[in-house]
Amino acid sequence: MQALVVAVFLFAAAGGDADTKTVIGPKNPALARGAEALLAGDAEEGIRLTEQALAVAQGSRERGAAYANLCAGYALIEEFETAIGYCDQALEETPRNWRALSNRALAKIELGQYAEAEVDLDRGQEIAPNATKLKRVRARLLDITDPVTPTITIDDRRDPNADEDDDEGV
Amino acid sequence: MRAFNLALLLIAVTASADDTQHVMRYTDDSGDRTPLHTVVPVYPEKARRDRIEGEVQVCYEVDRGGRPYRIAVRHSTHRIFEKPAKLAVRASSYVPLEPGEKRSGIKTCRTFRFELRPETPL
Repeated sequence: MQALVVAVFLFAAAGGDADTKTVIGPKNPALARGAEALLAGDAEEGIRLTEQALAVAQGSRERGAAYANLCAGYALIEEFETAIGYCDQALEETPRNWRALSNRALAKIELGQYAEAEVDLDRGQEIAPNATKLKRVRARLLDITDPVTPTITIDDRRDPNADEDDDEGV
Repeated sequence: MRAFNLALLLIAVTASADDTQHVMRYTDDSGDRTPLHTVVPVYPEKARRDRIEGEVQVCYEVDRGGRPYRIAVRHSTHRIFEKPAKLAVRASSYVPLEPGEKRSGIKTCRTFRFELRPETPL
C-alpha cells in the first residue's frame, strides 16, 4: 500500500484574529498524530486517533482531512469497502481533495472496480496533474488492465531506420 | 563481396537491474570494430510508470583498448532516456586492437529504442 496517500493536516500557526491570539502547533493535535501514525504504518492507532480528531473537527477542511485519513487507514488494513465510504465522505466535504480521490481509486482497484477507479484518477489528475501519487496509482491500474513488457532494441546498423524487410538477414 | 551480415537476436535477458526487460539487437559486422560487451540500458522507472516510449541515438569514438569515449547524444525523442543510454554505452566495450595494429579512430553510433509492448496472453 505504498501508494496510499495520507492527507497530513497540520495547522502550524494562526494569528491575527481580533483578540490577537497566537496558536502554536496544530489546532487538531489528534488529526496530526493520527496522520503520523498512518504514515508510520500503524493503521489501528492512526484510525483511533483520527476518529478522535473527527469528533472535534472544525469546518469542512478538517473533516475532509479526517475522513480522507480514515479512508487511508482502512485501506491499509484492507477493509476497502469501509475505506471507500470514508473517501466518499471526504469528497462531500472537500470535493477537490485529490488525495481522497487517489485513495478511493486505490481501494477500487483492490476490489476490481477498474473503470470506477479510472474515473477517480481522471478527476484527481484534472485537479493535480503533476501529483506523483496519482501517477503511481494510475500505473498500478494500467499494470492490471493493460500490462506491458519493457523492450529495448539496440541497433548498431549504420542506418537504424532501414526497413527490416530490406535486410539481408541470416 | 563483403556483405552486411545483419543478425537479429531476440534475447530474453536478465538485465543488470531489471529482470523483466526484453532485448532485441541489430548488429552490423561490417564495422571496423567488433563489440565485445554490450550493456543494455535499464528502462527508467518513471518512464515505465508513465508509459513513456522513446529512442536515443548515441555517437562515440572507440579507443585502442576498446573503450568508448567522447560519448554524446546525437538525437533523442525524450530526455528521460538519454542518461541510461549514455551510461550503457560507457559501460560497453569493443575488442581491443592488437599491439602494433593500426586502425584509424572509429566513430560510430548506437541507437536504443525503448518500447512498452503489450503482454500477449498465454
